[in-house]
Amino acid sequence: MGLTYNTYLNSDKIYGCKNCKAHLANAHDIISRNFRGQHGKAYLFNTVVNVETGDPSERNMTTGRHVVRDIQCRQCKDVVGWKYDRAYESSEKYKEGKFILEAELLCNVT
Amino acid sequence: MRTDYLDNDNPHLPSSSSYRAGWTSSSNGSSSRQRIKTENGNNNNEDMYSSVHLRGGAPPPDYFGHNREEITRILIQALDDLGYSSAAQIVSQQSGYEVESPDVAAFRAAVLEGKWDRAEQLLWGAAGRGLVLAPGADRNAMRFRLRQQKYLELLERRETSKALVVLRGELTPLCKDSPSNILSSLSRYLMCQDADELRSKAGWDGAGGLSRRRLLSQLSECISPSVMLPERRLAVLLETVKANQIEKCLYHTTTDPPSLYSDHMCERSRFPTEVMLELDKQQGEVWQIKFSPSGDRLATCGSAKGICIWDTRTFNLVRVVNGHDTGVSNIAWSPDDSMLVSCSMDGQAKVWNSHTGELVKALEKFGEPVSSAVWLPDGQSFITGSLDKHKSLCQWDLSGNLLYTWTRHHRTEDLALSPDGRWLVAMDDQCALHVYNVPTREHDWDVYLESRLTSVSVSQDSRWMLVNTVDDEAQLYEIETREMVQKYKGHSGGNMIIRAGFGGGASENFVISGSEDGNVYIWHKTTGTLVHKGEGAHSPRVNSVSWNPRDPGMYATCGDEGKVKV
Repeated sequence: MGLTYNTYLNSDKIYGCKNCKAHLANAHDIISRNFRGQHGKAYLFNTVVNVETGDPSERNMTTGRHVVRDIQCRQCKDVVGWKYDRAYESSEKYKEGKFILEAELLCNVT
Repeated sequence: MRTDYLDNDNPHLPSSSSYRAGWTSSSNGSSSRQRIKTENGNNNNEDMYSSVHLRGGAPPPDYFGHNREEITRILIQALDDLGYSSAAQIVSQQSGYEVESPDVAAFRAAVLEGKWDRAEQLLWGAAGRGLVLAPGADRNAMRFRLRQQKYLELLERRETSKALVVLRGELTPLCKDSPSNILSSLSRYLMCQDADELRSKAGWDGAGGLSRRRLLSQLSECISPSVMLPERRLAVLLETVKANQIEKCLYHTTTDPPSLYSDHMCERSRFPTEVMLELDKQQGEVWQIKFSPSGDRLATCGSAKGICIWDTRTFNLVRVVNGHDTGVSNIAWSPDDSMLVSCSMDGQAKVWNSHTGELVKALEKFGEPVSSAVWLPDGQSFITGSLDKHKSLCQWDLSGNLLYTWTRHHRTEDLALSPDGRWLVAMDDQCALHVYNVPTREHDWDVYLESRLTSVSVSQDSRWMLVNTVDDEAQLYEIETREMVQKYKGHSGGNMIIRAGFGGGASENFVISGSEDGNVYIWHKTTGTLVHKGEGAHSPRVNSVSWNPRDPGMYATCGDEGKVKV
């Protein structure tokens, strides 16, 4: 679909796709480390780069019902986490529009 | 009757002299300007315009709105420059105007013959009535130049004692207020052993050379133009008119200078707007297209792994270069057409022989995609731009040795080199352009923009820099002044790399760009008006465009559906 280059971040600690090392998020931008995904630890971020979002689906999570979309690396198409579209409980509303990246699917990029 | 008038400014005077004869008979014998003016004034009271059409009547005092005196004097000067000096003299006699008054003519002769005292005398005039100077002319500077020439000539003739007198008595008093560097360097010339040494030290070509003429030109700039006409005035005026017409011409595609017989306006029909040919041998999406510098071949590359090279005369596919594992994002022809550098998304840059398709050299793999490459004008080395932070802007020679790392401060997404070899422009992924000075290898200046940039290119005359942004805009910068001079709108940008470039013959009057909406856009470079919008050229988007450097009537575009249109 046309020629595009990845977005590159400027930081001393960057998380990238485990498969292709594309930059995904700045480690200093982590909002919370208190999350768990299918593969273990996960981090909440405000912004991630070089990802494509999939279709929304409703899921029951430990914190309640949410509408989430899977996100995948734009280069190698591996799933790296998900994005919160909607949270049904008011205490979880803060997550809306933010991204989760699973630590197991990431690697450190210098 | 009108045609008679037009003949008047034709250098072939004999045809107009018959008309003139009728007029001179009425003002016979008068040669001074004053008398002629009053006679014209008398005729003025009569019907001014009807007298134009009467043979033997006096012509109106102004030439269709221009001052008669100015026009005649300029024409006489032009005739003289053209070599028709006797014709010039006849016109001068008949009209009673002279290009220069006798004082000025004497001044000119005095300077050219080296009679400095006479020249000075004429310049300032006995009893303070000398030649009228241009506003802002510096009398002291003029005096200084005259005396400096006198001094240098005396030194050349080895009359050092006289020269010393000139230096002390005439040059020194003039330099009382200004710094004495000039004086000290002039006095150093006294030490020269002979004339040749003097000439080389002073950068002066001697009394016999052009120095006297140059001095005259310099001085004539200081004298009021109405007294001493600036040299080649008619030629200068015509140059301005031609340049003006070329600038206004919307569809200008010819390289010949415009003829003076009629106003220059290129026809739209000569402007390339039709698709001549579609080439679809390139598989996948076509990302970049480039004509070779000689215009005889065309190279395309894209998401498929092969690079296709076409011949521009027959448009046959002459070669397919295979050797990359992933898409090739950019290619660069060497200035002599013999080699091609290809840049791919897997971090490899390879040099190929463009005629045989053989691999000449593969550079070490970069960590990130290589985005672009440019060749230096001597064809012996090239510079690659890459998104790899450690090897973002590197110069290599033909054996693959790293010659120089230009920077590690930014990643490079696109490169452009000015054809005169002075400027290297690197576009990074953070909305900025960096301009480097090539001979000194210094980082000269940056341009920071608000949106992401997609391509950068430099015009053939090395004066302009074009940058395409994702915000539906392309901007033109003048490299010397570092200012943005024009914006081009209408095409759309998005997340994809859409390229733009210059085109349209030797003078490169057009800016052409691809677009996300699938159309090709061509603007007039100086005015920024949209000249042509090629609808539906490619779907969904036009990735890149290239204008044939040898044929102003041909350009090629490429798009995502794998087609190349010419």
